[in-house]
Amino acid sequence: MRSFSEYNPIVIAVWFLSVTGIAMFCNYPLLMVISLVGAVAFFVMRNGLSHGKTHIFFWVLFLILALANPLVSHNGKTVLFVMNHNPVTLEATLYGLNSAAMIIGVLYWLRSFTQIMTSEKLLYITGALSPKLSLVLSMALRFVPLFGRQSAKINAAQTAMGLYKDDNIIDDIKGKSRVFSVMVTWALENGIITADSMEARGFGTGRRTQMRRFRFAAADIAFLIATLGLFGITCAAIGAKSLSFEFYPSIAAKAPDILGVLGLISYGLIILMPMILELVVSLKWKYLRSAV
Amino acid sequence: MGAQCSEHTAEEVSDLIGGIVDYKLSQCGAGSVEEWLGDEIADGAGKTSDWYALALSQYGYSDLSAYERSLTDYLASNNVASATSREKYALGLAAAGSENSYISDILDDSIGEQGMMSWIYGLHVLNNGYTCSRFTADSVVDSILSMQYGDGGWALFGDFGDIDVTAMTVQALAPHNNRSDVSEAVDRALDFLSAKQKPNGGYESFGTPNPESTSQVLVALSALGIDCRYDERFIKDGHDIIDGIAEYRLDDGSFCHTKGGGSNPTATVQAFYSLIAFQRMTEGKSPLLVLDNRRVHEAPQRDTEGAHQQQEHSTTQTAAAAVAKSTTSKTGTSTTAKTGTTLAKTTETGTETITVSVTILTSGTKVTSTALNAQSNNAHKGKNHKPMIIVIIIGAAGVLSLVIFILGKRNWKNYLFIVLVAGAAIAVVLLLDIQSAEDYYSGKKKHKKNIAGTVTMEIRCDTIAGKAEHIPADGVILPPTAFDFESGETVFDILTEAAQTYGIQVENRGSAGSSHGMVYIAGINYIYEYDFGDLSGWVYHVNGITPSRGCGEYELSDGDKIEWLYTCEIGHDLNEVYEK
Repeated sequence: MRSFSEYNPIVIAVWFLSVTGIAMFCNYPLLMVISLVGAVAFFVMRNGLSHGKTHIFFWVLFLILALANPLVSHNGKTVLFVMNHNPVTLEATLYGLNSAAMIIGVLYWLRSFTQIMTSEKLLYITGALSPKLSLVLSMALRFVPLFGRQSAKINAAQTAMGLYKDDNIIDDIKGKSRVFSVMVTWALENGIITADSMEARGFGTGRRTQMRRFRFAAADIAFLIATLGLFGITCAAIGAKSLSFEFYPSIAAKAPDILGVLGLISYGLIILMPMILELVVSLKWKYLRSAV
Repeated sequence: MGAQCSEHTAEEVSDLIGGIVDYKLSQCGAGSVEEWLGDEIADGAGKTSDWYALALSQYGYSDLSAYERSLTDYLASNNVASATSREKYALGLAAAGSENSYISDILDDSIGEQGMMSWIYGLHVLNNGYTCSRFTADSVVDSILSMQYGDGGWALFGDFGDIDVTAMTVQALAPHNNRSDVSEAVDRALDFLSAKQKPNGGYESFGTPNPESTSQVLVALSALGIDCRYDERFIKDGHDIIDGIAEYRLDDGSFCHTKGGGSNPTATVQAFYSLIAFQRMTEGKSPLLVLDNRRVHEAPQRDTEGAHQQQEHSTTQTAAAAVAKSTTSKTGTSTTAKTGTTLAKTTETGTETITVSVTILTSGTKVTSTALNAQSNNAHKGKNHKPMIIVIIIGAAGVLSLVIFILGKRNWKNYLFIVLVAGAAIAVVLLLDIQSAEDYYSGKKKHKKNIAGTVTMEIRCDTIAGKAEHIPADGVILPPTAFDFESGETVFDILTEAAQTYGIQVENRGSAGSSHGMVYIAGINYIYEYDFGDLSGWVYHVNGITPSRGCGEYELSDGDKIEWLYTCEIGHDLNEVYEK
């Protein structure tokens, strides 16, 4: 028995794609709620109560996204108040809440995705398609932590030069924007240097090969089939307009029929599958440990 | 000239009415009118008998409970798609003395939804004292007036007035004849109707002489309190309008559509209610569609209003007296040749008829004035908001500065930052203009001081008419409506005013505050740009020409005709003529 993160990367990728894909291409509010709750639960389950800053950032973003929509879009029949000759409506607010739930849900999923899909696993998947693509991808992924480290260095160098000797907000903002501009220049320059140095080491002269160290076990296949089956049911429900929801001009919710309910249930099941897996594994681990 | 015509006495007219009643009774095998009401008329509720029910209720038969029940059942089990039919059923219910909320409920979704007739019947319902949120009787009258053609008539389509539609419009406008613009429009309509009358006293519609058009004119004149027997404008070669109807009478009491033809149900029912309308006028009762039974129900409500009512009553009386004076002088021209008794009678008639309409109008004004009170309260609250928020912001800034001072971060740039943020927040508060929905869409016409002229504006989406639930089937979002404007006002100002007055959703983008040169209309009535393809959106025409400026820059001049149109092909589907 393996935990979800130890499954074959292809299975994991397919699972993430179906979960986020449905969340991104459907606007049915109940589906969005399932996705958001599932994403938060999955993230908390894997990380416990750490990553406080991530949570705060996501929920502030959620509020901003939800409130921005009614200020920009004025469609909808229920007028709450009128601002500068434009109506601010209930429908637009609810639409904003719905799309904010979708975006934050997907962001949580992707955060878990980057934790589970290490660059090694990503290389395994993309390497099968094109080794060149996987090299570019791994270099791009390397940039993210590299950028953070470099900006810490520049910040330290600037402090050493005495640029932050006044402790106030305005100077802090000025300093941060200076570091950012330095970083942009550095990133462009670094890209060119990397390309030059790769060429000097003989990049592109021969065919690239790839090592495979993941296998397809029976559990992988079962998980893949279950994912695709449930994904198919949800897609069918969305395709058959059983899960359609109109926000404008007034909210028109169709009571979901049997297909719609099935779609919702199967989407919930897709999300639950890895959580059940993790739960069973951790219980087993505790049981084994207590037996020792 | 009127003197030599065969004068129709009251007995003659009641004989004509009685003939129709006898004919209908023998046709359906009923022994009395009560039996007829309980049987055939109740069965035909919503289908065939509504006009008979309405006419009988105005003829003095007040017990229409069987019809009311039947019509209520019919409406509960049938979804009436036609706006005009809904309004007709509302009138039927009101005539039966029903307290069904259907009568008021359908108004918002029906008035103006189906062209001219839906305005007319909607106004009839409003004339009976019912109210709705999107329209007032005055706003509907404004719309109807703006649809009058140059020849003085109204029509459903085309370029010329139509007899039936003009007469029906006058019927609906009659209770508002004390408004100067209405009375002027009605006078033009009467000239139009007078000019179209044939030598036999009757009328033609689409080239066919028929009694129905004549009946409508009779109802219209009676509603205005004009006695067609004595008004020279409506007597041709010694034949008056009743002659024009009576000559289609068949031996069995019913009426035919064309001379020599067989009995025709439409001709019969229209003759029936037009003669009743005439008789009511001679008896000094209200117009045909200001319903007796409805007023019976309104009476107890009035009593509870106590002292107010007294005052109201006295103003009504004086207003009625004033109006009656003017009516008398108008009809007086034709009655001078008559004996003194006739004159007295006409005056009395005029007074009575007008009293009814004024009472209704007064109740209308009362409703608006309470609405206004609520609004001014809101506005008062709204004004108090801004200084309070600004004080809160300044207070918060002060508290933050104190916190920084206590924490020891006493750099002057920290205080500068707080001042800058507070200043930005205050600027945002000052620039925002927030109003409550009821306040903004008050439905009240804006009061303007220096009126520079009048423009008409209409909003249509013919290119996509009926393509979705929220798009009107006839493509009309706002029929041609007149707006007064002050000098310097732009097309955008009038659109905003229309949005406020008639509760139309409008979304603008750009700087729409005090200076709105650059403003773009993204959506009207929930129909947005790009909703119907990449080339779709709203454009405006002024006098048929497409201006090459934004609607916030186009300053109006007197008599301009503004059209807002929805295009699906960036204007190529709209016959555009570009500004030079």
